[in-house]
Amino acid sequence: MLKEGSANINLAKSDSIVIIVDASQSAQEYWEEILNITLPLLENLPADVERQLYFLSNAKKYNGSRLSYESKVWQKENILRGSFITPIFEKLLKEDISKILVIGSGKIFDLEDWQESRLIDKLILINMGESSLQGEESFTQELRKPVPSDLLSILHSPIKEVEIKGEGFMPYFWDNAGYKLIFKDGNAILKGSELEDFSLSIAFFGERVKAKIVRDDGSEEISVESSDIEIMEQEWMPLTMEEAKVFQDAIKNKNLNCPICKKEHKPQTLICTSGEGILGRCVYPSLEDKTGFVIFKELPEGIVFKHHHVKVIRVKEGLVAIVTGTKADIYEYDHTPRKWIKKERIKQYYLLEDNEYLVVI
Amino acid sequence: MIKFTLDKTGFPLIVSKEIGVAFHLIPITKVQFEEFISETNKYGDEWYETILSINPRVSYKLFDIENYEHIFITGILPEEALEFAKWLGKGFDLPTVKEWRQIYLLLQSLSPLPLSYNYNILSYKADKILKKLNKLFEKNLNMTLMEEGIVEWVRQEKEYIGLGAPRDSFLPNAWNPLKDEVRPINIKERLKYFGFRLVRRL
Repeated sequence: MLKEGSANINLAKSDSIVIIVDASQSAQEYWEEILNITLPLLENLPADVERQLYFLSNAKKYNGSRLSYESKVWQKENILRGSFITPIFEKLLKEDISKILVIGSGKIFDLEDWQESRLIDKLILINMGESSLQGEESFTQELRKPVPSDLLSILHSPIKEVEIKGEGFMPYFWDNAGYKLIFKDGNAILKGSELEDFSLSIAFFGERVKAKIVRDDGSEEISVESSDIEIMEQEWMPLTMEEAKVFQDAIKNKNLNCPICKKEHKPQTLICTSGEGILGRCVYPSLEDKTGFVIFKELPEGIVFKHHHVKVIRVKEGLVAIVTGTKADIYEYDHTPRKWIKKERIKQYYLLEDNEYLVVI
Repeated sequence: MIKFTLDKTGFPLIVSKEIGVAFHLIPITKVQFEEFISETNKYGDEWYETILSINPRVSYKLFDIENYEHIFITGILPEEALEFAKWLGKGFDLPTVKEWRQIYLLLQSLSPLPLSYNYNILSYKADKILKKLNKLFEKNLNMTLMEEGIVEWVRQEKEYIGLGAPRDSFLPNAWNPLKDEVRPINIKERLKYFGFRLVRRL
């Protein structure tokens, strides 16, 4: 049985950066150099980059905009706390951080305690003195006296592209219109490029689904774990009485009376070409501006419709319909080649589960 | 039934009404003392580098039977241990000679300490350390480092002396902590085998 799930994927385009300034005894000799790289960095980070300022060994957050005024006081406040990363890392464990920068000199005594933590992958050490911040070890990247502009480009690397894929992966709902389905040789990828916002909610078939996040300075993969989130689809809207009649005639395969030209059309006609314009108009005026999948449903109070605004729709377990132009095809997942295989061309007013009817406009 | 409580660093103490104290299950570790240093802004890198030159640090995640003594804070002077006690909270103190020996005898008399149900409430670091010690040692006296641990500062009236019986690889000795007392020649000298655990009097 192919797994099914839904998830929220939160991907801020902009970074969230933590800067930890080393005001300890071992860095005292290089305090001017440390300030001289930290102050321009704080000033020149783009406004949309979230930044937090800490001092080594101190879990209290400081206001970066006050650093130049308060540097002497803050140095004194932190000079005898030793060189420990744990107070800050314990706090950051619960946060979603892009990068952590420690600017200082001299060994951080407890860095070895964090060598298997995911925070180490985000850590960059900036050595402004002579003694390494990691002693004889090499847990993470350490730069020696970089120029501020180089540091800026290392720190701020916005997302360029995101690709979501997995075993048997097939999305059938997503709420970020910037993402496009790439379907080739029975495999599906959902891809977003050059978007303002890469976050999305998604419903899908598939297992071991991952999102590959590509930035200027490299890429990373995150697992997409199903979390039973509520997918906020479009609301059901009512058809007019005239449109309801069109629907009822269509599902009985009868000729229909067109609300547009008032003439009779063949059964299941969706576009009236009798009027103005070469493209014609939809026989359901309520769907005038819609393309792709529309679902109809009969309720005691009348006929309602819902526009499914992405090109893939779930038909039932292991079965989807995918739009190409004004047509759609049914695909079924085949476990043996592990691909989605085309089954048939969808006929209009295709019957889904729960007595819902699917058309392609 | 053995009753436990926690200090503010999330490390456990056993509560003994008979002795009239809650006492630390193991000597004070470097990670606990580091929390103290980072909060109080009084000691600094140079001080700690001196301590580490006497007894080097090993990560609490990586220690084993060869080097477990390195996770404890040693080279400490009595007044520094008492500063730590004050920071830890009201009522914390170094044990007296009598209290330490009573703790020793109590632990010797108990069947293996039922620590497993307490792991959920300990701090992450305490949990890691105790699980490892529990794996390395079967006997309570070893697991709690009252034997084959370090020498621990205790009060003897107005003086401070040491009790303990480290293993030979850490410090060759033939001490019986129930009879012998370790008296440093110079109370101001930092000795690699001197650490401490604390009590809180009930």
